[in-house]
Amino acid sequence: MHFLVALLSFLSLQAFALTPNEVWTRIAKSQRVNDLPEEIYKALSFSGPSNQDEASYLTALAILHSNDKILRYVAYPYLAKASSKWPGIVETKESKVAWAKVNRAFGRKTLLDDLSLTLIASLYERSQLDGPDFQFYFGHYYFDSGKFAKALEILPKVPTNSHQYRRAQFFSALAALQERRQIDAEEFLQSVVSLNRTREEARARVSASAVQRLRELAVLNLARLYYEQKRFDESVTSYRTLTQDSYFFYESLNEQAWAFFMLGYPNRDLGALYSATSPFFSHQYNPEAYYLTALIETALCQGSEAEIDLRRFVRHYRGEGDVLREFMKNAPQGKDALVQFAQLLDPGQTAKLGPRTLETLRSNDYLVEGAKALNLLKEQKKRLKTNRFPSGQVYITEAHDDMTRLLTLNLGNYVKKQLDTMARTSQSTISEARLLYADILTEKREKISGQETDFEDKVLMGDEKAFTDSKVPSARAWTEDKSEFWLDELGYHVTTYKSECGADQ
Amino acid sequence: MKAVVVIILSLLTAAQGLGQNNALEKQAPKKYIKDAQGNKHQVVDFEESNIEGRIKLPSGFYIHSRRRAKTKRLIQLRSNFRDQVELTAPRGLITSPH
Repeated sequence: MHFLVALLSFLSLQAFALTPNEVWTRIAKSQRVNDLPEEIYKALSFSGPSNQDEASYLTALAILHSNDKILRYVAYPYLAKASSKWPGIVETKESKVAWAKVNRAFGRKTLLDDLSLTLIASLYERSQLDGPDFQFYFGHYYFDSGKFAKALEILPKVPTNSHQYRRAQFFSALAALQERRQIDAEEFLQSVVSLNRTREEARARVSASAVQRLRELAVLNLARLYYEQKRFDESVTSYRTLTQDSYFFYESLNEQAWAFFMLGYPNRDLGALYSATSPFFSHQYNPEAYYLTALIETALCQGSEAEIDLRRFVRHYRGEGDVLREFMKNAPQGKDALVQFAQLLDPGQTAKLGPRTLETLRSNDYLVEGAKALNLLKEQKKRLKTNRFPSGQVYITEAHDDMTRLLTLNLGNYVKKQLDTMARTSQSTISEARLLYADILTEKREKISGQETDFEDKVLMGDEKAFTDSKVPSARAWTEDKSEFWLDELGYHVTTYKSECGADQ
Repeated sequence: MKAVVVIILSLLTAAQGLGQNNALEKQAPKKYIKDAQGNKHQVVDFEESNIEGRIKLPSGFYIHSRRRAKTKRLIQLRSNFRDQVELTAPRGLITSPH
């Protein structure tokens, strides 16, 4: 009996089966996922279609889902599946329609939109697709893959009347930096900075704050470029345009300190570092700030102040740096480990990392946006369960899971890179601090005649115990008894130190 | 007159000594190499130079043999912020990480 029912339903399916062209047309013309009749999903589940037909259906499904505010991110996994079923799909009319519709539906609203469009552009490498948006995302894909020369062929072609023009110029600059074309990089960055919010950006609803943020990022990178070229005065000028209300004020304070140091303005330098080590930024992991302070004081022959700051550096970072390096040394390797790195973004997770390390990670702009996108996908997964097409559910859930996993891996990859950089900086700063300490002790020894035996080589070479915690008061420190701190004071401090070099001779 | 001859002889001897020092320097050939980042580094090869000396313990070295440890020369100053540039525009995020 059961066999008979099964046979009848199979025959009825065969009798009413839609042609591939009908399936494609009906899906592509549907406005909403819920408008899609059950028979379409039956046609999709049916094992009859060739790989070519299935690729067409999947492309049509990608178009359909891109119209849906909640499900639009599954467009990429559908298209990826389509091109894996039949690679030739990317050169067909269907793919061109898919790109046009998906691009219009997504725009550049969130990180997830951006991620999806770049991924989709990467699928169409073999296609004849063109147009400003495609050029931007395709160029972005090359940049992301480390193919900088290719990215530089495409990104500068994005026309000025595209709302992606500013971003294209920005990524062109970064690709040029990687290709050691510094003059080109400077020109690209200057164009990002000089351009006010364009009509095209306003029309595409690119927010004023997003435009401002990118302009400031360009200023920051210009300052870094000048620093690398030893144009320290121009570097300082660029850094100083990033004031307290800037997105990159903290980075600017720390980095301008190096530029001031190179220029030979120790008091402005110490002033910038005074702001950078203020309680406003106490959650940031930045061992270089204290170390650089001590380095400047040593250059001014202010040995005792330098020693105090080295001890403050040790108090703030030694333990946390050790924990971080140990964590990275024992961190699991491979793709699956990236999932664990991404989990560090979850505030509920307790990791064996120091509070400053975690806070710096969790306040990173890119990671904040990434974590939001990941939460959005998780929220959407709950809603997917209410989808009223059981057969379509399988497709959508699978595509959604693919997208979630890809985003998780990418965020985990960035977290790992960030922690790697922090661990490396921590290691090198500790080594430099030990050398500096040896130098301070040597100078001290020279000043104290007849007491050389106090400074045995183990101390001179930076014995671990010499770096013990010490709460020595410093005139410049943000003392714990100061009850008020003013944000508008930051960035304007200038100390009044004088060089003590040669004072005792 | 004798004094003038002595001065000229002394100058000639000094010049000869200077020439010998230069010759010694030339024995340590300098060449330039590029690292993975393309930065140029000077390499001085002392293999063929005849350097004489005695080994001393670190404590003796620092306390008795040398007036001052020139650690400042070893301290590295930041030459660029490339690591920070990388982090403000991260790569490898869109394409699937390997």
